[in-house]
Amino acid sequence: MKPVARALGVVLFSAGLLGAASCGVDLPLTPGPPAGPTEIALVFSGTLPVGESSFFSFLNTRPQVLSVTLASTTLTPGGPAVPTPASLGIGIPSGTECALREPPVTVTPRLTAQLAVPLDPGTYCVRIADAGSFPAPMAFAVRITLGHPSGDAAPGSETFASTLAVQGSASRTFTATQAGLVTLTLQSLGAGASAVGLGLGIPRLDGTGCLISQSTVAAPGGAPQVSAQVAPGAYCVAVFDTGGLTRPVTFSVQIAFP
Amino acid sequence: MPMNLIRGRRGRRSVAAVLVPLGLVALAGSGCTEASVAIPSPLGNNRLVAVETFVGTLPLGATRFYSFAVPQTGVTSIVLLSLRENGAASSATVQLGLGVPRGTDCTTPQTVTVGVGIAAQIAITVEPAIYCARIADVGNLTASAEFAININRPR
Repeated sequence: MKPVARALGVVLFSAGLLGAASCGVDLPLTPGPPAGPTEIALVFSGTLPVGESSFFSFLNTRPQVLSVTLASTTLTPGGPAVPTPASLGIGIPSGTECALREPPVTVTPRLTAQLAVPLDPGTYCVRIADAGSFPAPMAFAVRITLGHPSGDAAPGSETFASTLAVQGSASRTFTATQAGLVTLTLQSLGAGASAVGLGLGIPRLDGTGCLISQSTVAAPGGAPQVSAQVAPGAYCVAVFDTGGLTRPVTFSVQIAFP
Repeated sequence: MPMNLIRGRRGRRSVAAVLVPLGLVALAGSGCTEASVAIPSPLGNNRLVAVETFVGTLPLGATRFYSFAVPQTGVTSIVLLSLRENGAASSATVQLGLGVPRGTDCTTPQTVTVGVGIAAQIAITVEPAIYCARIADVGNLTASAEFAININRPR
């Protein structure tokens, strides 16, 4: 495991409650409530040098499905998306490594699970490795989900309106309660700006921003500039200066989610 | 966490459990090894234990950990067998811990800061699960150190 890796954890309960945990113990050490609409989600994020690997260990307290999603690869933490294939696997901590149960798969970042397996109670790990395609050290974010969310809420939409500073970024978190399509539409920008960066990703769980999965440079319009299929869970929208701002500008983004 | 602390003494009755593996380690040389030996238990019956050796290099200010499975309830103990800085035996102390792998580290409910020894420096009764041994430089090293830790666990 590489020391550069940094991990964040969170426990998401079905009611949409979001609780952050720090590195280290990220999961309850005692069994959770009986099987039901409860989901536990963790985010494994860090920076992986070229040719290296890293892993994240967690405790599963009951038989349930594990879903693993490589959600983001970027050249800088929190930077624009640079979709880059990586090797992903599930295993058991053994020695100084994560011993994979099956051969790893090479995947490209997206917001639906690339791996899903039933797990018995025990300690497991998720391993990420450069599949030979990293052009440079890559920041990554992997979502690790145990169980299923409730899925009892309706699709919705909301407006993210704020002010973007020069060289700055702004982000907002929302929750998709079922699988489906998320669309982002930059509806307006204040005077002095014609385009800004617009991204969709998963939230940093310490509240410091968004780990971007897809991004584009967007000008205001009526059609979605970013769209992606997502699994149920917490997501975020990021608006960021791509270098064109000379003064702060207001913006408005319409978020439609399942 | 399926881990119960037993007496905090430095494993007087575990000396045999350490000396026997020590010999095995000497034979094994570098790398991670596992062996089985019959250890006289305090209850009078001989219980099989497995010995794993965690060897590596500890950079200044860094941590390293090693995960292992315990298949049945029993005492698991660890001891820092050797520590070398710049190729020579070191008298520095480092932090040893026994815990569970969580996130990108080993979460250790019990740690000790110790130098090289021959008797168990942490001994804990654990239930079947995956555990980890962790070593950390807490500021006492002057150079990267090569280390060897023996892990005695139920087999």
